[in-house]
Amino acid sequence: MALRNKKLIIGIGRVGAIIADRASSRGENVIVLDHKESAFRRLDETFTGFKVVGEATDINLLKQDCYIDSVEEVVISTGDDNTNLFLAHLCAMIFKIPKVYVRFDDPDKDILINGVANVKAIYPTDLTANKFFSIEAEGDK
Amino acid sequence: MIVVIANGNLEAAYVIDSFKEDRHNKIIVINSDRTIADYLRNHKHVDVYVGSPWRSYALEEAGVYDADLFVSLSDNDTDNYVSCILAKKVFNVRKCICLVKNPDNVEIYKQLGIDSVISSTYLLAQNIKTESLEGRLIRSMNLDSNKIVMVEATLLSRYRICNKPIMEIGFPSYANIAYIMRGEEFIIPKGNVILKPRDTLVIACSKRDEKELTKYLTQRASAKDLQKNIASQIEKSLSKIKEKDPQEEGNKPLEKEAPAEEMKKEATKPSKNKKKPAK
Repeated sequence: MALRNKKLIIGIGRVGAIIADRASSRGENVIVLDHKESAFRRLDETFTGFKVVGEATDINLLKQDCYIDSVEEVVISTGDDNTNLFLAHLCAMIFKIPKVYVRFDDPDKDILINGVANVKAIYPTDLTANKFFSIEAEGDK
Repeated sequence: MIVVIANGNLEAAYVIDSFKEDRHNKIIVINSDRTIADYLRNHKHVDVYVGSPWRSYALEEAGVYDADLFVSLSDNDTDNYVSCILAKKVFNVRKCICLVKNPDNVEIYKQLGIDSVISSTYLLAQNIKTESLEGRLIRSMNLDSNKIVMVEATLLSRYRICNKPIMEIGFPSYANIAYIMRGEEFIIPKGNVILKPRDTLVIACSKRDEKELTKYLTQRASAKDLQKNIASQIEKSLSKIKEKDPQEEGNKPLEKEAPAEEMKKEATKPSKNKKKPAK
């Protein structure tokens, strides 16, 4: 079995770029994947990871160019919830990646991701709402 | 049967037609595009629920619970995947059929829990391949996403297995003859059926054994075998003649002997005259 020591980040939007930059500056072995090359402009100049341009749903691309078999941790944050869900299922159930983090805009997606081992979902909508209430509560004090 | 047809344009229209023929079917149509929904409503006279089939509230409002069949026909592979998984896992649909563009997705989607995955690109490529092979002696058709192949082989007289009963040819155990076409006639392959030139065998085997099978089928008969074949056929036909009229034999022995000698001469020549004595 291949040694798992890489971090794969799929979808380099604002969130993906921040995570990639920080992981890279900590010395981690980072691979970033986006379907547009222009997305990589968001990355810092000091980013030292490996950049791949292509569709994330292409299994052969994941296997050959992203070395998915040696990935230990994957962060999925493309703009499309359905793509994110499929990739999360794929990474956890087929490629058996030990740590899968996935972002969903739609909190309803939790019914399909709950119970899948090794997957942790992040919902920006919930986080924002929670943050709002905590700030509001602080203001009331 | 409750059938749910999610998304899709013309495909949806055709599928609706095919299920409408049976009056017992209850058809639920969901489409995320309003213009397509209007088209389907006006032309196919069915109720169409406008909504995205990958959202649980859309499926809930459309009443998809416990449906027998869920068909997802959208252009986007992942949309189809999520719709099917949602219907299967949350709405307890009995069987899901998912349409995909990328043939690589077929196996993956099945592993992830979708019952049936159809790749339009794959089917198109297969059809093109089959059409282009028209007229070849051995052609094959892939079934069940590349695992099983149906091989159609037309036999030539120079093949080793020709003119022998099936039980004697040592047919490989990894393949199975489904049926034999002899002209307009269909023959069920049994051990005593003798394979003849121009017979078309329809054989099922797994994809990895296809090459091996082709090799086996096209083995040439040795020159000795060919001669033996011809000789044995002549003998058979002679014995038939003898059986037919045993009384005449005694009366006209000379006449009978002459053709027999001719035939034996022919036997030394290779396959050209082979069919004559058989008939």
